Amino acid sequence: MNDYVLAAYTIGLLLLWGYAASMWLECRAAARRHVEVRQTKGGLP
Amino acid sequence: MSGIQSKFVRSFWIVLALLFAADLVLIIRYAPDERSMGVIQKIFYLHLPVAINTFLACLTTFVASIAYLWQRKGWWDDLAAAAARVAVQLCAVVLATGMIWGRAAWGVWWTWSPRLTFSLILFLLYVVYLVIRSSVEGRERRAVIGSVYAIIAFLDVPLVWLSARLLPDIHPGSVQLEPAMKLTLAASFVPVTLLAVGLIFTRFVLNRTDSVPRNSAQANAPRDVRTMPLIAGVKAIRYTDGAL
Repeated sequence: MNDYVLAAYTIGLLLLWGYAASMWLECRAAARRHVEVRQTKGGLP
Repeated sequence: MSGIQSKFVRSFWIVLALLFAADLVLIIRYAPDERSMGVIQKIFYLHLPVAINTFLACLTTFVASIAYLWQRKGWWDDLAAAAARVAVQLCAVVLATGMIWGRAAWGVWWTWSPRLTFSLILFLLYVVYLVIRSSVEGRERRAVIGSVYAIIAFLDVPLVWLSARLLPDIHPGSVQLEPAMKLTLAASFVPVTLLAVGLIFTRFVLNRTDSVPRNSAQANAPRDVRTMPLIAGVKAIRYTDGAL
C-alpha cells in the first residue's frame, strides 16, 4: 500500500473514531454525574 | 427494556467497527488500481463517502434550524447543533484526505481551486457556528441566532457541490468507475453513513442531557421520568412533556 494512501486512511479513521471515542468518554462522565445526582437527591422515581 | 437498548447500542458500535474492517479489506484486496492515478485513487473510497455525509450533516442542521424557527422546540436546536459538530469533524476528514490526495496526484498540498476553496469555507462556516453557539448567552437567544446563521451557512453546500461542475477546476467534477470500483464505493458508503448517523444521534442525546439544568431538573423531575441508556450504559433524563 502506498504511503499517501496509508496516511490518508490513518488520519481519516483516527479523526472519525477518535471523535467517537471522545463522545464515549463524555457519555461515561454524564452517566457518572447522573448517578451522583441520584444519590445526593435520594434517588429519582 | 433498558438492558436490551444498551446491548443494541453496544452491538451497533461493534458491528460498525467490523464493517469498517471489512470495507478496508475490500478496498485493499478487491478494488482494482485506477489506470492513470494507480493506487493513489484508493483514497477516493474514504474521501467521497465522508464528503457526501458532510453534506447530509449540513442538511440536517439546515432542516433542524428551519424546524426550530417554525416550532420553537428545543430538541430541534439540539439536533442542529449535534449535526453541525459532526459536520465539522467530517469536513476535517474530507480536507485532510483531500490534501494528501492532492499532494500525491497534483504535487501540491493545497491549491485555491473553486471546490477546495468552497470546502474550506464550509469548514470555517460551521466552526464559526459552534463558536457563536458557545458565546451567546441564553438558551432561546442562542437557538434563534444559531438557527438563522445555520440557514445562511448552508448556502455554501450547493456551491461546493456545483463548483467543480460549473467552473474550471483541477478537482474532478465526476469520475468514470469500473464495476468493481462502483461496488467498493457503494460498500464504503455503508459504514461511513452509519458512523455519521451514530455520531449525530449520540451527540444529540448528550446535548439533550446538557440542555436540562441538572440540579433543578432532578429536583423538579416529574413522577414518570424515564431513563434512556446510551453507549457505556449512560442514562439520560427523558421528560414526557415532549422535550425529547
